[in-house]
Amino acid sequence: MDIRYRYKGMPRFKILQPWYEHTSWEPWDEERVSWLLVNRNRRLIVQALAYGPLTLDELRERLRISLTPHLADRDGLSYNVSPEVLVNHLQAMEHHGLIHRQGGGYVLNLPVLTLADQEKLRLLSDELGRGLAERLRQAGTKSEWLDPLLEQVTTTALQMLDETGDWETYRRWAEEYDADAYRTWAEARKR
Amino acid sequence: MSQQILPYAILESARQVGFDVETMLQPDTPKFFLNFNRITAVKEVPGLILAGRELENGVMADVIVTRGTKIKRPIHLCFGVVPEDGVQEVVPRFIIEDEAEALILAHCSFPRARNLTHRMEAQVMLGRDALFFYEERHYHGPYSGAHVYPTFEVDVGPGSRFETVFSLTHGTVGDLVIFLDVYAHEGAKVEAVAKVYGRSEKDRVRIRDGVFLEGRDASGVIRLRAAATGGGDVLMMGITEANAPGARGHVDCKEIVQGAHSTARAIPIVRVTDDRARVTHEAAVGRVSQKELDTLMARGLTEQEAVDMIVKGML
Repeated sequence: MDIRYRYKGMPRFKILQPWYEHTSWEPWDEERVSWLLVNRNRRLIVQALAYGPLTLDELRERLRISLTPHLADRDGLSYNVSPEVLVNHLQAMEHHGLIHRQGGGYVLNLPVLTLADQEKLRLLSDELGRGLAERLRQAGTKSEWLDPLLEQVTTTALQMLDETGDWETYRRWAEEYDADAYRTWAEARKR
Repeated sequence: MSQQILPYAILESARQVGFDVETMLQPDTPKFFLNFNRITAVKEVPGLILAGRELENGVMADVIVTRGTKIKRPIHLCFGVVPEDGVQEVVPRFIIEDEAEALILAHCSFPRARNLTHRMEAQVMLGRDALFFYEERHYHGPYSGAHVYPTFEVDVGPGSRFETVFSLTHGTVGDLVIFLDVYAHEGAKVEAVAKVYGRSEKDRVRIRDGVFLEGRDASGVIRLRAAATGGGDVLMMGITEANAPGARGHVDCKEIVQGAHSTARAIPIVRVTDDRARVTHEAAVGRVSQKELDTLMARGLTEQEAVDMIVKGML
């Protein structure tokens, strides 16, 4: 399971950083990425809740941080997040609308893209892309129209989805998480 | 013999940044040397495990100090690349087990870099009551042609102490983006220091150090020191977050900016989610004091030499 952060440029590497971007000059962007996701332990809470609600005790069990050697034949080290720290994290996340309580557990408000979702998305996007490419070929579309055309097609599709059903086109994955926009969305859902 | 272990250009740059090269090269000095993607020297000592595997563009490595081992002599690491261009990737894991102690002196040298990328993803974990000092000195040559992107994720176990110093004060910088996250568990102590000198308009520095106090009575200090002259651009961000009772933290940013088009920015960020914790910060950015400049110039230094001396004094 994985959270897709805006993390580009180093596919070999495994550490997930929320907005580490080598190709731009700003490796962090407080305006776009909430401080809530700066802390790895809060990111782990998001990961743990991605598949469904968990109680405090269940979260404590799942939040185990460990490091094992790459190569050496030796056990690594591991820690659990301290219970009082976990409570503080959960309170902050709840206060800022990232999670809410339901029954005896915590539920994530933020949709998370899992690796399983990602594969489904890839199949869907392949199908859509092939169909669109064929239509563009048939219509003899000029190459200079392509970028504005694709943007327009996307906007039109999102508008139509919004009009025709319970689609949340402003729904974001963690990689695009924007604190202000998310709060607006959370407020709208509450209403 | 030294030529076989590391090229002269790398050893010379190690000397330039203040390392004792003769000690580094002694056969019994604990060490792990990498020349681009070739492991050229490994010396273990009792209680120290050094395991490496060469990759197409670099190396993955384990550095493990076993339980209770106290290594008195510094462990030398060297990651060097002599060619002007290319990509080097280094993926090390440092595991300092319970009650172990170690000091690592790391040297990253790219003395002829014109379009050279170095990436590192380091993961570090300290056990209980361990002590780990990690110092990394860089040399990127005279051409501002290095692109250096290290990331560190560190967990400091209960009662342990972790200190790290990053410095790049000789030669040019090129592009430098550092991302350090340290998680301090119960009673752990952390000190993170970064010192960088950007000298030309081609030098761009982005350093983001984060200390997360995740255990009761954990403490942390971030000290960021930088200078931007000759059009250099430096941005340093220090984040300290206290999420546990009794946690104490401090962020201290000081930067010098000198010359047209030079830019220095400092962003200390403090966050507290536990009302029994406390974090403070201070930040200062400004030009070199005119009085200090005049004093040095009256003793025969040019303005540039005087600025250099003052900056190096701060760093």
